[in-house]
Amino acid sequence: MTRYLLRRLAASLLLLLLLVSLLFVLLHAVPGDPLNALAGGQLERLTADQRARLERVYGLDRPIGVQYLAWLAAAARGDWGISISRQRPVARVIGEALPATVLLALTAVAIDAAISLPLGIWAARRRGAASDRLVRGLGLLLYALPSFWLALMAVYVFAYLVPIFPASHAADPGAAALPALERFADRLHHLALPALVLGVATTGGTVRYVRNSLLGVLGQDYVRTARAKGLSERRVLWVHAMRPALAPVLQLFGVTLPALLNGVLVTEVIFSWPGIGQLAFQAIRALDYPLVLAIAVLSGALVIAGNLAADLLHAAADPRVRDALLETP
Amino acid sequence: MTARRRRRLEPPLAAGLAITGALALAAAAAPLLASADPGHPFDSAAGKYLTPGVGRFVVEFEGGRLPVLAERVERRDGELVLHRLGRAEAYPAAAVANLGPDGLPPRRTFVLGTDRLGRDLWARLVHGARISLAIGLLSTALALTLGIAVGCAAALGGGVADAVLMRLVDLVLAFPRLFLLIAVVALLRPGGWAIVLVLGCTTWMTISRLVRAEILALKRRDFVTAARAMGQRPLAILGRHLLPNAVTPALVAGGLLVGDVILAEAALSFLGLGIPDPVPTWGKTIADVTAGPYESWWLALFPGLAIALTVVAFNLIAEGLRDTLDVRS
Repeated sequence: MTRYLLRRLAASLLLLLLLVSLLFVLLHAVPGDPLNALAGGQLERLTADQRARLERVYGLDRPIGVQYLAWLAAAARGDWGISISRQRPVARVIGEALPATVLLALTAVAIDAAISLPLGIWAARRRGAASDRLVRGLGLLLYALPSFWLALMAVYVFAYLVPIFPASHAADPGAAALPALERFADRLHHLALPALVLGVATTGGTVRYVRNSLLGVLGQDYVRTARAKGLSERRVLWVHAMRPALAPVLQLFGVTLPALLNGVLVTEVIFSWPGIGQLAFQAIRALDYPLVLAIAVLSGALVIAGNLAADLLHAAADPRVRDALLETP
Repeated sequence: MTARRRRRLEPPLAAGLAITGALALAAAAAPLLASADPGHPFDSAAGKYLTPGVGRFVVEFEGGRLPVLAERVERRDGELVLHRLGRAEAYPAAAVANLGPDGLPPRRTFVLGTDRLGRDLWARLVHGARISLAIGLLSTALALTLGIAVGCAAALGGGVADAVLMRLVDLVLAFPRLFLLIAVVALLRPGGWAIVLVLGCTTWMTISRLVRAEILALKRRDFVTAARAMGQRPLAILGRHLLPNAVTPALVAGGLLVGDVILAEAALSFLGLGIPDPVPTWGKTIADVTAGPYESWWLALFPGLAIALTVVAFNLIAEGLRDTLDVRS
């Protein structure tokens, strides 16, 4: 098991390194080069002398290979450079945005699970019935509706027609001065709408996955054996089928992390939520390449870690998977 | 040879085909269905933010003056009195170019309302269908080509080629797609064709995995062994025996992918990174609502429903295809 873990970790790190290298090359190969971003998009106004000085200060006059190695070495030491658009250390900018994103994403996943698990189990137990078709139809519709559209509609209904939630930002302007409890309530009040939108938008895929995964287990021989032995349907479902059925669902939350991050990006932009998604969007538009690279490493690492965790969870929940993992060379 | 049997179409497949057929027809006949030029404002003062179903008289003038919209038109001895913007404006009847037999200009109903520039939303939707369908189908065609090629190469090449190609798949999959898309699009600022290219190049991975797995399984089947024993060349075996059988799951995945790509294009358009103006796209139309007052709900509602309808239709086709083709095998 340890050997398997070590090999997976090594492969993941290699993958991450490749990803970063690819992005570094991509960012430095594009026409709108970092120098232009540094000059605030007014590169043609600079004299050749000013230009050369800028290049030297930011190390852009060196060959791209040298720049890459220098960036990599610094990043490995925890020095991610200075954000061009914000003129502050990248690590600090990201550190400030991260808690908001974690809060939003975790709440959304909780909402997704709270809706998808019961609905998916309900649909699987009534396979082919009207209720099953209804759940599947709703799931398909939710999957097909763009998440940014859901967000706009939610804002229209719950922040404009019936103004019970604020339409944007993570806190009221004066919230910092409030006592802790009221500040917490204010944060929850702002969190409700974006988290609901993000959570509900992802249920479309999750419901279908829960249903199909449970159906797959319910069709297996040992479930038939359990039924044949005269166990109650309730006991078959909750004791025998649920654990192997939930394992792939656990895995799903790891595997769909990229999709969740996509949703986070759009939701944060629409709700002006001060997290990584909005930061990424602004950084890309401002050609703030140290910030873009750092966010890319972060999200790539998250996705790879999510995949690894998903596989391990799956192995822990299902002995067959565990054996298969250990056997593969 | 496959036996040719009359087979009733599965209801979801039939529904999906009917919807996409109708959409394709509407897209092809866009200039007929919506006579208005989608980028052309009728009356930027009296014609903006008209609610769906509102009717207005369209008054065109001799001598190239821009047309105007009037709520009411009266004839008063040789003059036309136009009621618009709460005022009454009188023009000599000879100056109006489009008087009908009843001596009044034609009345036009704006079925889906107009946007902030007074452009007809119905026209923008119908013309936008061309963009969404074209991008969805072309990108998917590209993804299918790439995915099948990589899948075949990995399965047949084996060894190092297989390992390298599959790690490449992991690499592209490990990345939140929207983030990658935004980065590439924001940096390269591509037009329509390049967006097709970018979307196709970031979505082929699941297809290549499917094709690879399918070919690896097929390679061990007796009929392939027999073909090899008969001395058929590897390429002939691939073309005649492996591909036709491996392509089915790829086509099903391709059907799902069309919806995915349409959603991705809409998100890019919404974020202001899609095909540049004056081309109308559904995502861009939804973004218009954020530029105006919240009252203009129809600007977001209808394009959102159009996107959902299209994505649902392609999903139904994919599901129907899967069920139909599974039955046969």
